[in-house]
Amino acid sequence: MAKKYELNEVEVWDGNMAAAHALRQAEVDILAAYPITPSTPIVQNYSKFLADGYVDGEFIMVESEHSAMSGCVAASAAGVRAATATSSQGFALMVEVLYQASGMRLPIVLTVVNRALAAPLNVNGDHSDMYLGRDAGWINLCSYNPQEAYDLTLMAFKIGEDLNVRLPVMVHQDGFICSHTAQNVRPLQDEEAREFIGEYKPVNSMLDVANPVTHGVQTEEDWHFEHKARQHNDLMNSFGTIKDVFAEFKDRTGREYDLVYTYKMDDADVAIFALGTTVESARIAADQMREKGVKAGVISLRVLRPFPFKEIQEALSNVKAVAAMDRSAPGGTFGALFNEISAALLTAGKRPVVLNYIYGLGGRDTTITMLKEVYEDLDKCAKAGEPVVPLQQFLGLRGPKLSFY
Amino acid sequence: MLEIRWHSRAGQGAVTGAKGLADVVANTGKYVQAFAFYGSAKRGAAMTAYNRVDDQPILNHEKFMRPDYVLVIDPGLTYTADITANEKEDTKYIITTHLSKEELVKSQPKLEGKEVYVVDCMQISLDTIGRAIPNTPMLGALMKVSGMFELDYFKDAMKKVLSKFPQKIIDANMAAIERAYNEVH
Amino acid sequence: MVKKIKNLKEFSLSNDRFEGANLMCPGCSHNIIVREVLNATDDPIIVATATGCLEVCTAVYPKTSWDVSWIHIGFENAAVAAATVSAAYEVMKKKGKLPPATQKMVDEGREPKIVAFAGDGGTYDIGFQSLSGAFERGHNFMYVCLDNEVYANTGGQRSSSTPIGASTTTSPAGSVSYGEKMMKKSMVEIMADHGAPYVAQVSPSKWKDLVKKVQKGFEVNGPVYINAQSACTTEWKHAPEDTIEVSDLGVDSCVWPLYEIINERDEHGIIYSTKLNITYRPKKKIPVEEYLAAQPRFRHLFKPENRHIIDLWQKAVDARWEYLQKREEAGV
Repeated sequence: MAKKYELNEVEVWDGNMAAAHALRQAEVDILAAYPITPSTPIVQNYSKFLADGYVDGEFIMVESEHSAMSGCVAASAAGVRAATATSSQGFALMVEVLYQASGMRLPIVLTVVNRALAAPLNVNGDHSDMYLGRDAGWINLCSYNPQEAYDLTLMAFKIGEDLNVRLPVMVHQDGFICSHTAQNVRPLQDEEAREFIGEYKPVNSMLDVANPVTHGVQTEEDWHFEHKARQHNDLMNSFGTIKDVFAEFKDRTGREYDLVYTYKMDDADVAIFALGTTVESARIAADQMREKGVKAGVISLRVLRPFPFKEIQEALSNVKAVAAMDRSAPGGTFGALFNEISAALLTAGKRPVVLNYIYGLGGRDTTITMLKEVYEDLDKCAKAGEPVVPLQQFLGLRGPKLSFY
Repeated sequence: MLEIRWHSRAGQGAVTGAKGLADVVANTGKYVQAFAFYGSAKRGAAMTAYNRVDDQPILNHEKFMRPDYVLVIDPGLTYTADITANEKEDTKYIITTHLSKEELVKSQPKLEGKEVYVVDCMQISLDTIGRAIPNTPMLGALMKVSGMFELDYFKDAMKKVLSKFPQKIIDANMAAIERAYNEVH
Repeated sequence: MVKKIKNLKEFSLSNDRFEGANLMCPGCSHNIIVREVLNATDDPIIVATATGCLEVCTAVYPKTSWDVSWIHIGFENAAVAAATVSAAYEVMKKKGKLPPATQKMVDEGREPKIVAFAGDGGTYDIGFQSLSGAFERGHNFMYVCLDNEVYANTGGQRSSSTPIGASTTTSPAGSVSYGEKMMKKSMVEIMADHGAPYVAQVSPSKWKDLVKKVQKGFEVNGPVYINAQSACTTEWKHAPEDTIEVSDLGVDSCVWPLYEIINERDEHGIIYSTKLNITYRPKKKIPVEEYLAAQPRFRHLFKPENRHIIDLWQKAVDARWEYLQKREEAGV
């Protein structure tokens, strides 16, 4: 039996330590992982917990991220709780198996510490890896600080393992800005966390050898489409479980989560729509703009997948101009957030100005000043009732301005 | 919001120092942030670490900072790092050096007219801890200059932060903190 | 528990946990090997299979040929899949949380046997990293390579197991080419050098030898590698009814020697002694030419301009047989 870890009411943890403690408290049976900056400390912390007797499960340090996720798939199919952590190139190497995990309906938890994708090689934070995996059929939860990285990792198990869901869950946190930034974190005690997540409920366990089961079949044209449709259907319908888990978590901790995160959006004319730590920095910029008389708000996705389409439509229903902030090189088009927000607005019959900012690539600092510049652009467009700045701009780029359309 | 920038070489303990300070401050009910700029540089490379302290939850995640305090824990960085970057009018400098304040300012004219404090954290850590890890003495100096906490309160709080270490190491760190507290000027 | 097997008739009437009515080609060796491996024990079995002929022909939704717990993830990860199932089993056993029926079997001394099956593509090539990692970590499982020396599932491309002179769809023989240019790599020794406690080469035609080795493998603790000759009627291009005969020619010409390597080792992977045993010695070693002649994939080698490759073949096989005998004699 694992030892109880003595925790203070307030700990000062970086995002990696926060995620590691959540994995420990979830009593993961198999954690298979491979090191990569900046997520490495998650598994280092976890192995230290194991070495000190705080973990009963097994930590398998495999030879690649491909094997890390493959191991998680096999362990989960065997009927045990499985999790891992990765970033960037490691995430890219996992991508093949991410689709296998979701297609096989295995509730694995993956803590992703977001980092740029090479080339050029860069270890710092951006959302390239998050965007690479967004269509992989996983539930994607987004955190903005270490506390949320902890909370959402705990909740990820409960959401994914719900028998109506049975899907793998990623929890994203920004590389370095969250993962290596220590802040106040209020953890649950071990027994509270255990009680919240609950016992793992095996489904079609391979270890139940008296009831043989075939995992990972082939489907021909006759069945593949139906499988993928059902998978999509269950992912789309996971909102209910996600909301239930958020509600139960609020009851226990007082900390409130919703599908969409909003700050001062009720009367906002202009809004920054961002992901990750930028969401919180944008709140400071919004407050400063409000002092200057600009009704500024902030909006974000707590749940990137399934995409809360209706809630986005509602939250943006009175906005005159919104900036979609994409922290990933869009590779020849607009950023993904821009496209998804635009689709939500268009089908709602709303036509606010939508701008696209590509920012923060490879860890480029996103300052309050820069975010206020975005609000200034939005304010101009809102007043003009049409775009008066380019639709796509690169924010914080050195040298001549780069923009399109 | 109180903001602190550390100048250090990787391996000298600035990250641990920033984290230790954050641990102490968090226990008083305040909100803290401790982070560092990492490149792919290895031990010995110049680096910076940061603290933010506030009565409200800290939402600011920009790396840009106009520091209230600049803590230099490696003597050479006074000359090779841009320690006055983004300073405010009243930014206070606490610098590890074996020089007197006058000699230091003469040797680095950028510091002229600034509020500068000197303390030899290198020598203190060598004398007390036995290794050149100038982070804990710097925290002692910071307590004196900032008046953030009383010496005894801070020492007690640091004992808790260091509790996983052997008693000998804790005692040495306490001696280092106290000496720097008394010697900084 | 080691199953007692008296004779072929009795063995062939074992209670199959692998359904023969699957989609594989008539005359496919894979079927024979898998049956022989599974029938070597009455203990519960959990199988991981790499993408390949065996996988695509035996688990096409909504049907399955497997009456054992079975998983397929991808092409390159059968080893880590089996290894992690093994680790998951150990964890749940330690925690006392095995499913009750499984726990009962374990209590009766019938521990589940965890077996990975993969072709040579999934073993020698794309799955090699996963295989190497899983063996280094020392998990308790058996890995069986169904070695047909070609990517049969995708239409007969060369792999690093394809031997010299074979004509494949990506190393075709032509007016200026005799086909594959390189001799295959020695997977058995490579896996033995990983420190595996038991490694063996088998042929489905020598069923007793195969079953004995599989049973030995099930009894040791740690990763076990079995390299199984799998004559491929489609890509070796022999008649379906000749599969066993072609297999025998491989064994009796010493192209496919049957042997085992035993590493006496502890749980830390420290090896105290290594021993190689040749388990089948042909009464009369037949010329390699006869083996090659039985397979149209080598037909072009019999043209005058390519005969030198047959000579090379004979030299290579003789040298290798010599090497194995020397190792056996030296007891290393």
